[in-house]
Amino acid sequence: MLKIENLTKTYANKVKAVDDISFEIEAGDIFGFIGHNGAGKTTTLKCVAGILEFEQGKIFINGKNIKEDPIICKADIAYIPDNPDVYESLTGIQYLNFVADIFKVTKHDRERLTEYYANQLTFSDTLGDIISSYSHGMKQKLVIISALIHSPKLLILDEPFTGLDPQASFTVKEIMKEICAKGGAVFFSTHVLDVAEKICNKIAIIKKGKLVSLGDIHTVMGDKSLEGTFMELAKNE
Amino acid sequence: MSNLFALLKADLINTYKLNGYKDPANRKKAIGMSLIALLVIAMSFLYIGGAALIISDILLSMQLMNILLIFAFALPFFALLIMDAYKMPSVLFSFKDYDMLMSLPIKDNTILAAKVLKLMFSGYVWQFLTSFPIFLVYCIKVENLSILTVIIYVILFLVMPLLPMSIGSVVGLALAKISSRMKSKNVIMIIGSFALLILIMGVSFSIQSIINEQALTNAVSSIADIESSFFLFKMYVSAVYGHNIVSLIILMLIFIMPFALFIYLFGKSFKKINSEMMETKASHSLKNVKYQPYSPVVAIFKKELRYYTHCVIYIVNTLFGMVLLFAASVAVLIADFDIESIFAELGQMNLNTSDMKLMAASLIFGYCIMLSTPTAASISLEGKNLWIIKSMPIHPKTIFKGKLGLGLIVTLPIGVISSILIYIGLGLSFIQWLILLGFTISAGFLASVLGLFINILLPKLEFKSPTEVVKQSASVGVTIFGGMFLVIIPMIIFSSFVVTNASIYVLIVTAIYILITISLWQYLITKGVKRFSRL
Repeated sequence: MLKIENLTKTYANKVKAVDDISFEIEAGDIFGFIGHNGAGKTTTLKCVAGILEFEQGKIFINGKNIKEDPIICKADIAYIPDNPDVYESLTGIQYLNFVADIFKVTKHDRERLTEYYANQLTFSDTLGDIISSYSHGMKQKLVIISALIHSPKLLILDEPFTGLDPQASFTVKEIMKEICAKGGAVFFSTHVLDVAEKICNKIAIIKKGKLVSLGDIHTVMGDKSLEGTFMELAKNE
Repeated sequence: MSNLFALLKADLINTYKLNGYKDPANRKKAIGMSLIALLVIAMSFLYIGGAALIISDILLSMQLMNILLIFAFALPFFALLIMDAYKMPSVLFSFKDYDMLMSLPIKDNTILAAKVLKLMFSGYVWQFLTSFPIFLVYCIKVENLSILTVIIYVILFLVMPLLPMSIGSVVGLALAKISSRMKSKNVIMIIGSFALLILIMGVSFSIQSIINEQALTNAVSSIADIESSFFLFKMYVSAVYGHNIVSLIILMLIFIMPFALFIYLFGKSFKKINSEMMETKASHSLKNVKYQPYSPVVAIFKKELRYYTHCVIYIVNTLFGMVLLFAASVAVLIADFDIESIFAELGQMNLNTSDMKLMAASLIFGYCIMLSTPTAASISLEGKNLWIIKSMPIHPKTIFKGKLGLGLIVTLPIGVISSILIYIGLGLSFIQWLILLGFTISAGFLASVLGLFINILLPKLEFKSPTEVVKQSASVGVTIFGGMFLVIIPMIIFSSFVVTNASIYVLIVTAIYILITISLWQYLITKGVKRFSRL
């Protein structure tokens, strides 16, 4: 589903935000990506989503290179950023229709999926409201629905639980499992280690742009909790 | 006082990016911006000071040097009036850092004072750029200059920005209050802004015409007429030129009292007014929920149009040229003045009146269209939302087409309607109208593509408010400058060389516009796409 080979991303100030990382995510995987603030999680996610250019390495989505076939790759993925910055002057439904238009979702499907996910996230009543009147959590819900409206094969989420109410957090976790059960995959970053421990089958820990641990969650954790493993890795320079 | 100083310091550092010199990554940019600022100062002194120097010779010979003082007063006064009417609402109401500042243990009045003082600072900068060069010429040219003149000028320099600020605040507050009660609040804001701009321009032009006509044709009675035509001028000349202390006091009261009153009254209900303005009527409306598919280009275009119609500052700044064009076209159609004789006077030896009409219309159409380039800000305005279109499975060319659509919808419908009005009003031939129409359409496409081209070269994706992009970004400035260049150069060539057929000349310019448009579009869909991907 997703294959990253020797990805390196350097910013203008010569700092390597991501330094030669490689891993693979297969269909059915829920892949957790954890690390400190500024470790390189968001940069990696943005490179995979085709938002950031990178100078070294390759990213393949369903066998297609994101640099060579960005449109085909992006059609298979959905990206949810850590901050739900969306077009504030649109209404919720206008934004969803905009995304559906770009992904060429049929009228029937957009109606069905919008209603389905909006009901799940208790968002139906506010679809006609202007986005600027939404709270942070409501914007987050809108972005999640917009990501699911085109039935992506790979869901990329950056800190997806920030700002969500407990019920919505539970629903999102269920949706993640649902996508994987249907043969899709989820790649997400999080600081909530308890959640990662419960729902991920694979995990990667990134520190200063480099992967310090990678693999099956039980192998990575050993006999410790994920929090214990992470704290130990954080101490070791 | 220390809170006020701290607030002002933080706001000024943030607004003018004064930390740029300390940050090695931004140092080059900061130095570049400083050089541009120096260039603006130099240009302003050269242009305004140079113009004042030329006028001063005529005024000296007529012994009317005090008219120069009127210029020194009127120029920044009206400039600040326009600027403050725009700026005050965003400075005083619903400002970006309202939540953050109001959560701090600082008095409301201190926050208000910091906001106002910041605007005063920019008022002084404007005065320095527009008034000071004229006053400098006055000081150089007038014999036996009294030190009192300089002292009074400086005193009035310090208090003058207060009056435009008060008027701007009241107008802004009134517009915001009215619009908050209306459903179509942006329409009210837009109409109000345009009405204010046209009114101020009308007043400025009428004052200019009084000065020009009377100063040049009736040297003896002009000064009395000018002074009596505008009370503030009379007082200003009387204070600075006549050293009349009563006039100085009256003038200072006129400047300070409305401001003090406004601050007192507004300060009392500062929090209440801002709270009311920030309220959003969250009435859930499910009847708006419709599912209608569109193509990606149309989807992008609709998104652009929705943003455009929701952002007053964007509309006012990019539609003003077309509003002027439409107003001028209507005026030509209905005004009761002898158009034929005007053009007969303007007619060159090698051009007939009919040709002159076409040339003049083309110049004005080109000028107004080049002022109307929403595309120059459209990539920048994606700002923090850029992730949305960048993560979507669409080619940047599709995005460019959607954005181009916005530029065309702003210029072409009004341009075409105005060309029909001008066709009737000026009595152009049908062929001339077709040529003007072709020119209008080609200029519309060129303006839109040029805006997009410049914006991809000079994007500004980090901003606190759209105003920074729409009014202050390099992309918008360069696009307008480039557009003006593309209109003025053909006119200079036209007036410098013997052109015997205006129709063919306009057709040639149209063809050149089309060629430039195609070249810029080719750049956009090749190198422009790569630049967009790197954003």
